[in-house]
Amino acid sequence: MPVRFLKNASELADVSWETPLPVQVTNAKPVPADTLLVATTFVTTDANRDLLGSAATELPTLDGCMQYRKLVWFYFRAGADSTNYRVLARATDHNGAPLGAGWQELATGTLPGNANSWNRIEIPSTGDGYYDQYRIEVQRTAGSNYLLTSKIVGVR
Amino acid sequence: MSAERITRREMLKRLIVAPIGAAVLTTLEVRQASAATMQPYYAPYFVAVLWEGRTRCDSLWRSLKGDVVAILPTVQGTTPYDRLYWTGYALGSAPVNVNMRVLARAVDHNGVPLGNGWRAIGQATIQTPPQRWFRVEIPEGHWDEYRLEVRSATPRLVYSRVIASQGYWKE
Amino acid sequence: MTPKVCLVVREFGAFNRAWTQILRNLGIDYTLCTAIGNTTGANIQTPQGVFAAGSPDLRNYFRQFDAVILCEHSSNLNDTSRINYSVFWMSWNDLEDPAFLFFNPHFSAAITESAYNSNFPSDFPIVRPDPSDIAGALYAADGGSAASFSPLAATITGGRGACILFLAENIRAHVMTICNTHTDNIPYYWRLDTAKHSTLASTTYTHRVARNGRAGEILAVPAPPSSSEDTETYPNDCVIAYRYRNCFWLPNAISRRQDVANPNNPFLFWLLYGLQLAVVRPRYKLPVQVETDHPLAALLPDAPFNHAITTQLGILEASWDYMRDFARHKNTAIVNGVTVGTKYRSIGSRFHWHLLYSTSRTQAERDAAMRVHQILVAGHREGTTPCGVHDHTIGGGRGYWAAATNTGFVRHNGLRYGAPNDVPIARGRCCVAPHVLPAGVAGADAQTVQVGDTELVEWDIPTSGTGTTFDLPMGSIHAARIIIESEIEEMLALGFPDGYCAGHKYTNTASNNSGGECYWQALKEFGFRGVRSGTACGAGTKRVTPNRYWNGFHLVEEMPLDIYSAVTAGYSWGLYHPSAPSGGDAVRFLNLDHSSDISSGWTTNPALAWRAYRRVLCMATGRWLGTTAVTLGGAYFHPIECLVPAAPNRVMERFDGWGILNAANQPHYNHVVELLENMDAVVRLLPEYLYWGTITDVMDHRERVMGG
Repeated sequence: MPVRFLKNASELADVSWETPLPVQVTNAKPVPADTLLVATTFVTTDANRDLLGSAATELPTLDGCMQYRKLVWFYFRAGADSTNYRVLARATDHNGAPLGAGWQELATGTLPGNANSWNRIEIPSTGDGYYDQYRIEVQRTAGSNYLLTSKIVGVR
Repeated sequence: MSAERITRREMLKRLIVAPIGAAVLTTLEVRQASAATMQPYYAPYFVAVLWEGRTRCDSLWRSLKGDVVAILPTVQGTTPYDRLYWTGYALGSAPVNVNMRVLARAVDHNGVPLGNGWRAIGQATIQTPPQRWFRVEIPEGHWDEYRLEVRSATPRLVYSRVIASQGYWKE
Repeated sequence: MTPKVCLVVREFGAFNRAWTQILRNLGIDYTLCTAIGNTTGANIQTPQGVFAAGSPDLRNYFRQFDAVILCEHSSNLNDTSRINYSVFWMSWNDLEDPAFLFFNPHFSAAITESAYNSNFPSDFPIVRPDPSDIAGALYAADGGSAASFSPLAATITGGRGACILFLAENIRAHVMTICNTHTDNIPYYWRLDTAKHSTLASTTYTHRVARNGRAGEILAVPAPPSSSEDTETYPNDCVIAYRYRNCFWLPNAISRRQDVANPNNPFLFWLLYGLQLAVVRPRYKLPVQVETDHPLAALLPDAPFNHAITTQLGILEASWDYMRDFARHKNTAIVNGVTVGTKYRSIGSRFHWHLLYSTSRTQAERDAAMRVHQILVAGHREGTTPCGVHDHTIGGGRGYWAAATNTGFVRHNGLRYGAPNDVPIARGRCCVAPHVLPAGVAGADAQTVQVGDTELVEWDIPTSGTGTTFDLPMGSIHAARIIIESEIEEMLALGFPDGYCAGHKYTNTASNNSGGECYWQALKEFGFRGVRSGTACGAGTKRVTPNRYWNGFHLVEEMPLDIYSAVTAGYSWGLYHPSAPSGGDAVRFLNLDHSSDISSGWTTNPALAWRAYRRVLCMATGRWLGTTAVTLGGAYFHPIECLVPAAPNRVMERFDGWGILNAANQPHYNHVVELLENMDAVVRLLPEYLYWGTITDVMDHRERVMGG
């Protein structure tokens, strides 16, 4: 027996290629991802230096990120020199004041990619984000300084 | 309608489309036929058609749009999408071997790529008997631009479309 | 007409995104093409296909553009190839060909590629630089001294000086100018082959960019000195900018480096000028405006000028009179951050209310301060010198939320948040969204608070009590409301009708700290549309997001035009002073003493004062243009700190080297008049691209071009 549904509130229609079952979610639409940051960082051996070049450890790289389920960090690295990265995050109250001092460390590791390569890191790598503030630090551990061009996109 | 005196240069500007990395502040409507099209804004579904058309494959790496210009993307404005799907149908009388590769990159807010080249997401060979369907899933999403290239030892036609999906939506 | 240009780039990995940001801000469409190589054999990748650099296909492709801009340059005259592929374009001179803009082009005699040399136009009238005989082909510029880095690497410091005479417009302007450089780190200007130029100048040539109808035109030369004291002259065949048919040979515009769009691009005048010469009509012109911090302030009467406070205020009065008049004639508004706070929270002797009313100031000092103040109030009302709040008495002196707690905060009386009203001073112990708040749970003092999109019901809220003095935690909207209302109350008491620069609804913030969301929300409640803000905008726990626009509230990036270090000096000792502390004189603060070519001869060679003058003015103008064209930010300076090097009896006179001396027997220099007059020359040179506007125009334009 064919599946039928009420089309146009009064007309019965069989489900077919021409009259598909209306399962579209009403009033739904994809929400665009937002570009949050585009930055060029000179990667050095300095510790605690974030993508915007600040070594002030309490200063976030990105603020106001609560609406984003995750961030995607795209980067183009000009050099292959060994580099560590660290992603920190924390929540603030509705006035923007961090709930406390310090950060939660979300990820740390060796920055992937060879010289002149494109790479991508999801933040957080698993699960959902919704943190208010993120601090992303890079530190070279060997070789020479090089330029890192980053773009961070927030996905809702 | 008032007559507008137009120079040849102005006429050329209106005819030539598909700029790369351009901030075209008044965009020209592009028909949806088998021409390349962008999907800058999002229809009320969580799946969007980014491109559909016909590609003549030969021994060169060609974008699905047919060009060999390595700096040109196949599709742009793909930031919101979690994953892309490339589905198609390859013609040819002998078993079909079509090499394909998917490249991606990010651009800044003015459309300029962050660096040179592309990120190679994957490369594979599609092997089907003739006149068959194929489907490739591209799981690495949220790149701003993708370049999908194909190549085949024996020339053939590939009809395909690229669609993209977003995992979440909101009211 | 649709303005459209083509940018030719060697690679995106070494591309300065100021190019594209400036074009976007101007509303000029652009397309990016890349060259696959540096030689004449390099192909050009375009959206229409890959074309040989000399092919008819490429020529036809270019014909849709108003101008083709080559974004590559070299800093080594020995390079054998850099833009060799562009040689063919120099012969594409028909009516339908676009204008070609070459900035700091590499056409050195060291290029051995035969296809380049054979295609290089034989009638091209600029002598090709020769690294083996630099003196025979180029003129060393700006004193001919070497910097310790490439002159092209100048950002907001480290620049070179130049005064340029634009011939057709007959305007002199100080704009940072480098035609070519070499590994010796010396800037150079070009040498003209006068015979070839003479031929071109008498050959008719028709093209929409050939404004004089001739095949060759000298566009700009080094300006002859305006004083006999200045010995930096150039021969008659020295040329800065030239038009060869439809090809423009221009100095460096945007330095080649991998970089995001930022205002560290002090040469960009030449990009705007080149676009204007190429008759590219932008959709938008850019508003030029300037701000001051602390319009009425005084310093201690310290060395080297030892100016009494009344003398300082006299300098300010004359300068404000000039600035108000300038703003009136140019139809701009000079926005000012008034140092409020000392009506209640005295932290020093140099602030606005204190100077006007404190009994520890003499009557003469208060009268002198009042004369300055009256200009500001009158100017606020007529729109020339609008003033807004700017509070250095909170947050440890560094403004909004620059400390976790402001201990011993003294608030105002009356209004809504002043004494004796018992008002919240921090967020409630509990804050719950109203739609999930169970009935009957909220405390008796519950109130609904909204910050941005977030609305919460707060209760158990700490309050101020009825007194005027208490410790105020700075991180909440409640604190922000108290602070801002007290600042506005002081502005009203000072005689201003509002605290946000009249119709502009803007102010510049102390230490560029805009506080954070709760402060922006409070400012919006008080009617502000935007403020100036640094990226780190508070006590080191806040960062302004890159789009700098929050729920309709503008956060305008800062660009200081000061000529001294606020950290190490506190005020300017002038263009240069042998005994200045670190950061005390403009030359050394801005890193302009290349090879010590100013410091080592200052007391014996009077011409060096002119060298210092050129460099300082070019550096400040370069910064100002950088923020105007790239980041749409707010350029500002501190008046009295920059003005103490002015001669108190000849305050408004133009710089005249050692002809006019200040109180330290050094060359008189009035930063205000020099900066404004020079920028006015630039605006007059670029009528299609710049105009004197206001901060409202800046915020309007940000909304226009910064969205999506």
